[in-house]
Amino acid sequence: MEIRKKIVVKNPEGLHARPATELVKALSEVSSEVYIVYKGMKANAKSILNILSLGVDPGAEVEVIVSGEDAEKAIEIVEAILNEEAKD
Amino acid sequence: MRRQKTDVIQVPRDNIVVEGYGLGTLKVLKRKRIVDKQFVNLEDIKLTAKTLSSELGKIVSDPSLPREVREISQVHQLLLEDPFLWKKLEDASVDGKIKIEDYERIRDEIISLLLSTGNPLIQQRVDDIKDLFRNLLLGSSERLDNLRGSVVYSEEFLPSDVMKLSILGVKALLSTQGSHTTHAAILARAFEIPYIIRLPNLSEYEEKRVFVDAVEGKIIINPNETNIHEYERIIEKYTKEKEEIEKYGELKFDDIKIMANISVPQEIEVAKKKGADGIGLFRTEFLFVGRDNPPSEEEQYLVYKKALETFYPEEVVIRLLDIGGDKKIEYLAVDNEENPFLGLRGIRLLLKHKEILKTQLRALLRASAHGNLSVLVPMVTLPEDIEKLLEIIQETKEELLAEGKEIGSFKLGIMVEVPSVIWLIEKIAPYIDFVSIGTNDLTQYIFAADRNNPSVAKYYQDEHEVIFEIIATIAEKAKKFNLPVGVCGELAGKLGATEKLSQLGVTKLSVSPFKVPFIKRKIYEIQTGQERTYKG
Repeated sequence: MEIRKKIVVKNPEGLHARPATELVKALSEVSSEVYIVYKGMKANAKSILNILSLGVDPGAEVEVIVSGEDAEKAIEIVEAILNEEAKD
Repeated sequence: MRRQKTDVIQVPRDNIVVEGYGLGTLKVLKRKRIVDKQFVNLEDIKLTAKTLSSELGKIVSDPSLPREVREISQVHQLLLEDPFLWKKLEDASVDGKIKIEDYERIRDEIISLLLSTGNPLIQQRVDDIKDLFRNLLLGSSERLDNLRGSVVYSEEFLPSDVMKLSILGVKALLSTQGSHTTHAAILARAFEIPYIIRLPNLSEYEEKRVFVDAVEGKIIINPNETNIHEYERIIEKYTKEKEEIEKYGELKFDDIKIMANISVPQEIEVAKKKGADGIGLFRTEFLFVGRDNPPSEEEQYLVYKKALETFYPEEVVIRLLDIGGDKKIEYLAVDNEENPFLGLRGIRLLLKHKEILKTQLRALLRASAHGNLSVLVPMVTLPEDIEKLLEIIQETKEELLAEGKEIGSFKLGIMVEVPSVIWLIEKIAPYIDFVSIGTNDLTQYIFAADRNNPSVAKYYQDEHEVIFEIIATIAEKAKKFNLPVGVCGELAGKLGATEKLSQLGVTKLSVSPFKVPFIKRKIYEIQTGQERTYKG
């Protein structure tokens, strides 16, 4: 199954070290492939290096593409982390 | 010729990453030469990665360590396991071996990928990549034992250096490169190791005794015996104070608030931990510098909103972009000025670049719905500056409302830092809700002395009677208009000035986060009559 979804990154840190770490960690539990597309660049969301090199700022819109058996769970994880507005 | 005389290196406050004092022998961190060999075995580095990852795993899951340390270790652990990295290394290997030049090429490619994002926070992860590639080659074997208990100088510190050096009880870190937001800086803060960046090369002082004053900002090389005793006393007093000071952070006073000055987002949490009664000066320059384009409205909105929510219901004073003078950004070109400090700075520049100002105002107005916001205007010189700004604010509000955006309310205040305002405050007062005295620039303009120029340092006196008189005048005039008065310059953090400032009617002091509990203790002592040391 493939799901494509546009998501606005509401995390005030954008996709910098902390949220990127959370994302990679959380996605290690799913088998689906997960990609984030930003400004025409496509990154493997299970690679912290790939995510960081996108340089996604807070407030930016990205497209998330997931494919695999647990695609729905994967998209939920991505959405939750990208939408996380404030974290202590 | 080897120097024996005492040298003093003055350090601008901005270069102090972690406050504190350190006394010891200056040692230079000499890194192991990366390699003399020409190849690296893929299996060897895989094994090293496994060992390092399990070492980091222990740190990540050790709740007794500071949260920052665990978080950074987690990033490093994920870097060690990164599929993109290993694919690149595997692709470069032939018969299980990678040429050292290919290994370094991969490192540099990854570094340039991060640099090309144009985002300063991501660019600062470059030191993590350097760290990763070094550690993969050297394992955790690099021994720094000879640096135990010393003051350590290095061109740059990588995060794992700081981890190792903290275990060795180093007294202070000094470097030529670095910034406030690198992982090395965050770790030094977590371990409370005094750390100063952007220094000249100090290798020539190797093995000399040095005293690092990362509070006032100086490094004394080859101090004499009498001074050493004095420094030991300072350190002893500071250490003792630090142990007992934290509890004062919890105090609240009815008549005065002790707030924090913030330059980078990481300081927000430090300020909260130290007990700040809100943010008295949130500098927004970090959002704008070191990148090719200004931050979007949305990016700014999310950052301001987080600061407001973190401190709610306390006040957060966010200063409009204060660029010009010595602070420049590339996409906001200012013609070469003969006297930049008397040139297009602060609000003067923003009024010329309305698009930047409006984006910031839109973000601030939207964020105002989420907390107790005050907006501070830098470099106000004439009432016209504020009149013009108010028109733009009104226009921005109407636009946002027409778009159906939710906005809250905020207070508007000005920095008193240009002498003209001392006489014009009555004319400006009807338009504003508070004033904040920026004693650094004010002192500079009153005494016509650049505070970063050592040749005129004696003319820069922010504790001069004249400055207190000006503060008294402003406070008196502001009172007629019911405007609260705050001080957010260095003077606010000087213990010798606290009592006088509070007597003059100042109701908000905004200081570096680390100073919050010290100033709170001082206020407590003044109010309970426990100590009366200031003689005015």
